[in-house]
Amino acid sequence: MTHVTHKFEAWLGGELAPTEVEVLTDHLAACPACADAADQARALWDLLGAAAQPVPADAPSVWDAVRRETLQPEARPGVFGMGRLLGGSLATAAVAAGLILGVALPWSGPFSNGSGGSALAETVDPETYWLTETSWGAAENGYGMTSILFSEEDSSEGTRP
Amino acid sequence: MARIPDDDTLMVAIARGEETAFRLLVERWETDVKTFLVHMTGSLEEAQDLTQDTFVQVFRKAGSYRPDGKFKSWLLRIAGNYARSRLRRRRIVGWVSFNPDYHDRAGSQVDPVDEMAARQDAATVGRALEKLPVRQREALVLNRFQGLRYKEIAAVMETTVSGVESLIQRALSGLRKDLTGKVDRS
Repeated sequence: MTHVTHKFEAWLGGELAPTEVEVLTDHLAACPACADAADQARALWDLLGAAAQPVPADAPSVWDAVRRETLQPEARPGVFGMGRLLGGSLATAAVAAGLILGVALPWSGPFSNGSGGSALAETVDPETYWLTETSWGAAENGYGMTSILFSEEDSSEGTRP
Repeated sequence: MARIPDDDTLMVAIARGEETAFRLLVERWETDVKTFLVHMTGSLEEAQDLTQDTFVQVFRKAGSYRPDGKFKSWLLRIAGNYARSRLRRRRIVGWVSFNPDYHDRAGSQVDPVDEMAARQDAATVGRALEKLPVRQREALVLNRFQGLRYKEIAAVMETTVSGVESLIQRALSGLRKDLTGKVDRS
């Protein structure tokens, strides 16, 4: 008699053809050892099913965040990614600080190395280099403050590349 | 009657940057992706993050997507890559505890003692699942919780059907060993 225990996973996973299921169930009816093993396999399978973790119905959709990262022209990957890592409030404070430094201090001031905002890079932790890039980009590209703040606001939802 | 566009049609539209198509696709698949990622990571928050990453990647890869009717496999492959990457980075496969609170049994008529026992069993099983090697877990999750056939899982995991069969056999064997004596019904 050929036992069928090696087919239990495929059987439980719905992989067996109807004819194979028939052969298997016929065998189980005639073989107590396989029938016991089948009961145990079924119990484990059911237990696993009971451990399913359904996503709560009120879980927020990712659509808004995905849309901001993909379809909105303001999306800037570097800014977005760090926002998620740091959290929105810290990113807000950091970008605001960058803006203040960039706007209030003269380019020839004590933080300048003669080439504008790049001096700030030397004072910032490498992990937050993007903040400098953002501020520098703002100066270089002439972004208005409104658009910078808008981008930063989105940063809490993004991913860092 | 308006025809509901299939996934491949939506992907073609997404490659052209059509927002409506993208939104429809996200709404269609978000729960499936999130459920898969919850089972992979054991964390709803992580699943939420990785679901977002997955759809961003879908958008970015839309131009190179081949509309061959295997969108779901392609999508879950992206999600699985993110899950494995995250788990590797954390260097702890079961880095977050299984959360039995996800089990929505509100309104059920079961005895509270039985319900508590069931929740404990579910938590025990969840922890055992987290201890499995990542690929074994992924194959089992795709089969047991996502209802994918071996052939589909093989496409998602870029392996063979027999490879999937082996992964699932080893996963269940590992679970059986781990759970023996820990839960009533194993």
